[in-house]
Amino acid sequence: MKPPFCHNMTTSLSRRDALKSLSAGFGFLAFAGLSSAQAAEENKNSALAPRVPHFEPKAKRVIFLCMRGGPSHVDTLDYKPRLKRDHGRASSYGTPWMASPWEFKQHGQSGLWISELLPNLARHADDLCLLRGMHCDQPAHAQAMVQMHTGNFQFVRPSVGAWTLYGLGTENQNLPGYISINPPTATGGAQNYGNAFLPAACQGTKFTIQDSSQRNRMIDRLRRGEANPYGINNAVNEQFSKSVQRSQLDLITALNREKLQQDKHNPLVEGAIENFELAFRMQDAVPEVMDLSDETEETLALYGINEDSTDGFGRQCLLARRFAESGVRFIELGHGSWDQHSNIQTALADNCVETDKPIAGLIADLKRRDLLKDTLLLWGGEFGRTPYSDSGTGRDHNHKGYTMWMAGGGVKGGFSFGATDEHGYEAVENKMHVHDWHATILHLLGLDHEALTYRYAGREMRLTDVAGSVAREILA
Amino acid sequence: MTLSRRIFLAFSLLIVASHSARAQNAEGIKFFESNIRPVLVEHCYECHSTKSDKARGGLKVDSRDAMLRGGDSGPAIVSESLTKSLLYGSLLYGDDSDYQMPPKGKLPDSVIADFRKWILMGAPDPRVTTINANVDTKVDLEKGRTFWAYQTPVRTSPSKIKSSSWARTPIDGFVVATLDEQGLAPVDDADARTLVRRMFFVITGLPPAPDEMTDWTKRIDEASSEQSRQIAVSQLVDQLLESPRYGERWGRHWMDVARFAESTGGDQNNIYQHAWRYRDYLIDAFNNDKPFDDFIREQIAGDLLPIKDDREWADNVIATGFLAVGVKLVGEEDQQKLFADLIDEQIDTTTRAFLGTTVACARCHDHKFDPIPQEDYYALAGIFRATTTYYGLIKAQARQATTLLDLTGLGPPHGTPALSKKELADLIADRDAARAELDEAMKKIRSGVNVFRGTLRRLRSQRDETEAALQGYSEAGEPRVFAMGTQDREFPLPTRLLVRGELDKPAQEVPRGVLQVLSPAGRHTLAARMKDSSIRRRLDELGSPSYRSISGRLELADWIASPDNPLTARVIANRVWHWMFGRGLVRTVDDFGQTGDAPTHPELLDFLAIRLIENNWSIKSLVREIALTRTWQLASSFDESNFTTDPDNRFLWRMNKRRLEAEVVRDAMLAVSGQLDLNRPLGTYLRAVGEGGVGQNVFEPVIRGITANTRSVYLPRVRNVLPEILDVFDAPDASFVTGSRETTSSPLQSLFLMNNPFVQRQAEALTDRVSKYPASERLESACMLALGRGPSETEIDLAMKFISDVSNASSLTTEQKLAAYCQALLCAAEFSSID
Repeated sequence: MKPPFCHNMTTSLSRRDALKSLSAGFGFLAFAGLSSAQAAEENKNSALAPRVPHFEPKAKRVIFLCMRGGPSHVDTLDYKPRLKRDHGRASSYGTPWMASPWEFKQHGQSGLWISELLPNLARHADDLCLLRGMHCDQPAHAQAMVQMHTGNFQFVRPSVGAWTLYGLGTENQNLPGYISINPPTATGGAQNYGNAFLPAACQGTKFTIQDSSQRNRMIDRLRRGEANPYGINNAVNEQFSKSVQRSQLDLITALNREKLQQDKHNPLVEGAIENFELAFRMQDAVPEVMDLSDETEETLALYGINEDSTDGFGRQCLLARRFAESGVRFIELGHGSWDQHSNIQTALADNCVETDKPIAGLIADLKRRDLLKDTLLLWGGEFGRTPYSDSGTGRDHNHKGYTMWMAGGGVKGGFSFGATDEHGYEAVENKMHVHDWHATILHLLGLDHEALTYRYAGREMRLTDVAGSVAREILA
Repeated sequence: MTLSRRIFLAFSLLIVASHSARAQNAEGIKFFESNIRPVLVEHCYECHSTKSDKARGGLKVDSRDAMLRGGDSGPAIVSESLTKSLLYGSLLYGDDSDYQMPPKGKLPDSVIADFRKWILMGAPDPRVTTINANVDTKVDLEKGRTFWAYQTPVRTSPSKIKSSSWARTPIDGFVVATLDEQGLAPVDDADARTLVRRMFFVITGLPPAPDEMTDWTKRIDEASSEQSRQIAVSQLVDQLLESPRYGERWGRHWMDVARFAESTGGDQNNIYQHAWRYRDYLIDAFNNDKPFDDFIREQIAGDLLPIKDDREWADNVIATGFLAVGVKLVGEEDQQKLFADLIDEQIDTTTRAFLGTTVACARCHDHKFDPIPQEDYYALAGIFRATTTYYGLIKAQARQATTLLDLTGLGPPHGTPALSKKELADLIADRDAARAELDEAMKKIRSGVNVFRGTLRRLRSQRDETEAALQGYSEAGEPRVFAMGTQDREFPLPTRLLVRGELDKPAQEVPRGVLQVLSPAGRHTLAARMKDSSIRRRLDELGSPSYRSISGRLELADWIASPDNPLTARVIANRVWHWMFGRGLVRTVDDFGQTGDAPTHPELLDFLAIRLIENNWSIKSLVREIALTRTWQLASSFDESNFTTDPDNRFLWRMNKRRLEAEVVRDAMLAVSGQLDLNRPLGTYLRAVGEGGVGQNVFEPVIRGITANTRSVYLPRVRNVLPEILDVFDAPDASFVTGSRETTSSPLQSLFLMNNPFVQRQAEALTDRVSKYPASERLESACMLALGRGPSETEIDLAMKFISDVSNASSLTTEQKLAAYCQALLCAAEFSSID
């Protein structure tokens, strides 16, 4: 095993402590004695090399289906008969209770209650692990979004994907280890896939793909120009042959190394060295992974690709599978907005139509390729919505109780964990805070959230700060 | 002045007036209930009510307020006036009316007669908005006032500032005291070359030319004493501060804070064709070293300041573009909601930009962290509610368009060239053709022929666009001068606190005022402040005695720009520090509240704030003072022991190493390639794309197709369509105040540098420059041009190896090989960073 890619000596020590018992005798003591610059030099090819986790992992990779804006749990995955009875009656929150306009039914062997909004997902009920006792600290989008991604809404902290990369490295050195497809520019922006104080190589890379229905794609072309088939710009060098480019890159890297040697410690330059190498390799890898021509019609149809309403998100889901297959460690896709203060009846239904089939297709596809067992699927938004109405036709933000789900990667299927009160307002049973969610995700990846630390500003920083506990009940 | 009077009428917001008590008698109400309400419900609510969540044309007819307030075109009902009541006009289905309602067909004459009678009765209507119970605050203001940021800055007496042989200036004294406390030791001073490069980039945003580099390093290095070395450095600082490049660099900093952009963003993203005037104002303000307190007053209340002449007034009005260039959802149907959101955006930007305080958090409830009661928000809202904001746009393209301020003849320069006779005639012909086409379509509709609604929309848009284009010129084809900005209304509007920020849940009336936590108890309202003789005197000094504004914006500006405001000077001094060092003494430059960081050097921050005020709020003086400290002139070298204790360099044991900002990376490439055009362009490059929303009338590929070699500050700044290089290198999208940029590092940047034609072009141009030298000097001169230094032995070896490698592997020409080498220099991390 290669040493962890720390450019900070004290950090390497803490990492070493965490990994000592497992690491196969690499000369850590010698490593710890090197200066930071030498350490970086030593690690020049290993910034994202795969690393042995703290213990046997259940999941090797993560696909996070991020439903931005706060999807309503009481209309989708948290069945509340009481809410139906109390519809229109005064709640203690100023506005009256609002029943879900949709019917719920039990599905699968497990009999999980799922709303009619998600008919395709419901067919995979026995793969789902519903987390019905979620809660977080803030009912505002930006704060909750950033907390969901980084654990902290006040300070700039590394995102869960960055921590994952820091802990595990990545399996494909030709693609970024952490990809965020169509991330939002608002609500925390790049912080949501940022590396903060972790090495720059841990940062997520943004891919932009057409996120629109077939109908809109024509219009999009007119408005935005030809869609970039590679998801990123400048993916191809049209100026030099590969060998000239390689020589040029060697020169750039050598110049950067000269600089780094003088500076002894310079994360900017270290990041640049890593990024140029990765960028060079991406020139081949990205066009290949983005090229869907080798997918069968049947597979495309499974994701709803080329269908009006599901094409946009279907493509994201299919790409997520392709990234996962290629060894990308952490993949996030986004859909939104689920922020239905009003018009929930049409807007939420639209959201569900656009995502239900693609997500079900992703589960089915991963399963038949035997990838679901070690791919952890995460679904959810920054919070849920209130069981009482907002403006009569919608629901307000609710961070006190909401539902997310996991699937694959070592979690129980057909399982429901945690519960909100009888109206669906507040988590009351087996509550799962964002910190607990993070702790559990890391655990499934074979990482101990208390041992995965990075020394910064005089403290051993963690994704879970000083909190978080693993929800052992949901482990398969 | 082309002020739209209509706007004043359109906003009689939330005045739950005792209007026409006579009409509101039992008989009138009965008439409404039996003859009017059923008609409204049946024929109008579908498109104009809260319940349907629609407000076509900005109009709702489901409450009395909403009818009196009206929609985009004006009040639907004006009591006792049939001609002013637009609703009545539309019922008549007249040819000359813009509207014919309901759209499905004219109502029976008897019903129309009922409306006539009802309006003449005074439009009695019981559907009055109910007032909610007072919302009390739970904020403990007394405790809140004890927070460090709300205390008056404390002057540290010179004798208390640590003296040390290391310190060169008082600022150094503060820094070294903290370093000692923390057990840290400053690293060595930066060498002359590093310092000169740093100085050029930080102050002007451009690299030194090779001869400037050689000249200044020589002067600094050859100084015979420490004192003469500092004299040389100070001469360089002065020269750079005098350069017009300084304003372009620092004006751009302020544009981040002022979330400057040339489009509305939001749902429609319509182009602001006239925002560039505010851009140029900012650049000029920094170049002229406008005192920062004046700079504040002009941006918040420039239109209200006393003036000597027209030109001064015009410039001041342009400054209020600050309040107008924010994000707006101009497709919003509900004008009242747009107005509330506009004010919210103004409050948010004003308080964060100048006070580092997030007052907008108190729109729906008391601030969760800071001692700002919800009432404070509405006290400020009352001020902005009495203000009209002019941001332009075309009605047919944006429901919530406004007019612009016409400054023609007052002095500001034109932003467009004059038209020739022929061009003018063509424009008139276009307009007339568009009119004719629309008239034709309208005629068809009246005669019962169906016309596709989209077609109608397009024709209206075309008519308005050609009309607007024409209005940009005088009859002689001379361009007119328009600006975005603000004006006071004719009277302030009573403002109520809104429960949870919801427009239909008014509670207690809130008098206009400033933040309570920054005022003595009970002295925060504008009225109470006017009782303070020193405030009165200060306002009087601004102009004629008893100089006051209707809105209270002038008074607000004065409160913010006052030396007594504990936040203002600290916040801007900290911003200057941030721009100089890459990090503020308070890291969270836009948040001086509880959730922000505490200052690492509180006494130093106070010292800087007080110095700034004493130096007549001169930003240049502050920049100069900081640049001449030993602290700012430190090297950025690594030190294991310091690093272990303070890895983030919070205590300034060295200079921070920084990636240059996106604009600077681009400008530096153009500078070293010799392609940079230092002229300020006339107006905005967006003139070429015309009016409209991005994706509707204006297309992204066209905007992206605009290329220019002027400095990045002049490039088109359309929200969500930033030039690629700026986007890749983390320029903010101007959604809100961004005093501190993110610095990401990603392979997408590397791909841009390796593969984007822009970089390749600059490398080729740099090659052309270098090729003028003899072959033996080319590598050296390329390195000198790009990095401000000659290559090291190792670097020469690397370059030689590169040339020989590519010679063996390809058939590139000498020029191409040199270009590949030059591009590598532009790709090097050193090129886009400073030490």
